[in-house]
Formats: sequence, C-alpha cells, structure tokens
Amino acid sequence: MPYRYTKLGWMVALFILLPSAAWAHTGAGAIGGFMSGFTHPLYGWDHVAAMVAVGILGAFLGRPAIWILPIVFPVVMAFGGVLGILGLPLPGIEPGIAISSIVLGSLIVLAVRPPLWIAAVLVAGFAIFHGYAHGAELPNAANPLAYSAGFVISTGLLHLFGIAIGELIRWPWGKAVARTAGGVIALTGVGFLTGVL
Amino acid sequence: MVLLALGLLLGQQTPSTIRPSLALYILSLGSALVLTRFLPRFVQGELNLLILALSLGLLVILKLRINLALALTLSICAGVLIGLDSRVSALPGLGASKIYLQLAGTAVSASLLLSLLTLFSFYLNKLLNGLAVRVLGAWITAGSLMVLALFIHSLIKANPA
Repeated sequence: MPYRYTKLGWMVALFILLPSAAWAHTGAGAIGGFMSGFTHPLYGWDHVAAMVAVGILGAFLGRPAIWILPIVFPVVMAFGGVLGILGLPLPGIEPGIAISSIVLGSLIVLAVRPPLWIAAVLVAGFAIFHGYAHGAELPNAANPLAYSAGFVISTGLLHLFGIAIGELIRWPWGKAVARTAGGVIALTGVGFLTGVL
Repeated sequence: MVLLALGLLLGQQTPSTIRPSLALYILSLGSALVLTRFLPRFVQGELNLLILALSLGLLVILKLRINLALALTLSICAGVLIGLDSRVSALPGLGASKIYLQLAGTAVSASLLLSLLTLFSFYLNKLLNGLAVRVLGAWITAGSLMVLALFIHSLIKANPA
C-alpha cells in the first residue's frame, strides 16, 4: 500500500476509536451545546443561503476573492455578534438578512463581477446583520463555548460547500449549476422578506 | 476550540516543526493535568483559552510559516491551559487511582484529537491552496471573539463596580 494511503488508513482507524455510541450523556453539557451550535445554522435557511452564497460568489470572482470573502464574512460577523451580545440596538436585522440572500444571489445569477473591494464591503455589511442575530442568541445557549465551536465548524463547512459549487464554473454545465444555485438563494431571500418562507 | 485552532495551525507547518510541537504539547498537557491535583483551581481558565484560540485563529488565517520557537511556545501554552482547565471534580469516595485514570483519559483523548486534527489539516492544506483551513481559522476567530465578548460582558454584569 502506498505511504500516503497507509497514513489515511491510520487516520480513519483512529477516528473509529471515537464512537458516539459510547458517550454516556449526549443531551447535555458540552456535547449538547456543541450539537445545538452545529445544527443551528443548518436549520436556519436564511443563514444557510447567505453562507453558501458567500462561498459561491468568492469562487465566481476567482482569486483572491475565493479566500478573502469567506474570511471577511465571519470576522466582520463577529463584530456584529459583539453588538448583539451587548444588546446595542440595530434596526432591520431580519430584513437585512433576507436582503443579503437577495443581493448575493442576484450577483451570482446575473454573473455580475464587482471589484473585489465592493464585494468585500457588501459581504462585510451583510455579515453585521447575521452576526447580530447570532450574538443575540448566544447568551441563551447552555454552553456558549461548545455552542460556538459547533456553530463555527458548521458554518465553515457551509462556506466550503458554497465554494465547491462555485468551483464547478470550470465546466460549462457547472456555470449553469452555480447560477441556478444563485437564483434559488435570491428567491429564498425574497421568500423571507415577504414572509412566504 | 484551542485544539482545533492549534491542529489547523500545526498542519500548516513543516513536519520538522510539527513533531517537536506535538511532543511538547503532550508533555505540557500531562504535567499540567498532574499539577491539577496539587494546585488550587485555575481562575478564569476559559478566558485564557479563548484569548489563545483567538490568537491561533488569526495565525491560521494569515497562513504564516511560524518559526519553531513560536510553534513550541504556543503548543506549551495550549497544553498547560487545557491541562489546568481539565481538573477532575473531587467527589466523595473517589479514589486517587480513579482520579489519575480520568486524568490519563483526558491526556490520551486531547493528545489523540490534536494529532488527528494536525494530520487532517496537513492534508487539507494541499486542497485549494489551503483555503479550507483558512476559512475554518476565520470561523474560529469569529467564534472565539463572540464568546470572549459574552464572557467579558457577563463578568462586567456580575461585578458592575
């Protein structure tokens, strides 16, 4: 077996040593907090749409946007989160989140390629709304640190999923798939803004 | 969070930096776990862990090839802080042997987890120029910053003076 496959085999074998069936208290404490944080972004479709859109847009714009946008979003989002934790008033949170899906989805579906700084400012502006919503929910979590760790991994994976969709533009059919995904995201945003979803 | 961030950061380094860093981490973690039996409870351990996770997350985003001394220092800090924050609760009737067994279990799982995360990050770095690792680093930074803000806010609320 080649050396790199041997290492991969070891990695898989070591992961098997962490069986969830052996966890005694799965519904509370750190594990409960982690799972709650991990599943939270997956159930909030308004957030899922925006996270995936940022990934697709980054891939659509190419380098360096492919890594700058998915990094700008969470870092600025954290500042929005701090505003939420401190309870500082910020109007139009829910409409702002819905509009983020509409704008980012529209940029993808129309294949608009704004300059990097405009894309970064747009993404950063919308990140404030998403962060505020998450920050306001964080104090209610049973274990904020575990909740945050689960939340971080889950949303990071959503960005990567978006980037993977965006990477499909290398093929002609992939461009259609990515733009269709952008259309679905924009429509989802319209649905949230109008209260249909 | 610290383990994830340190694993991602070490995975961005060369094997010659990874090996001594992992070894020193395991050594410092083990020593700190044993010290929990003799030292008083470590105050504000979570605050220090959050600050360390935030710093590690920022280093992951920057994707710097850090020098060996810094990698070793960060590994020791992580091992000591995680170890001191993993005290076994003193329950009536819990023998010393059971306490040491629990501490050994903590050491094994925390070491195994960091090794796996480092290996995972090392291979993930070959994908899309290490983009995935940097994105995860950004989310760790964001998560740590938010929980840190919450922590400080709670402290200020608890002690308004």
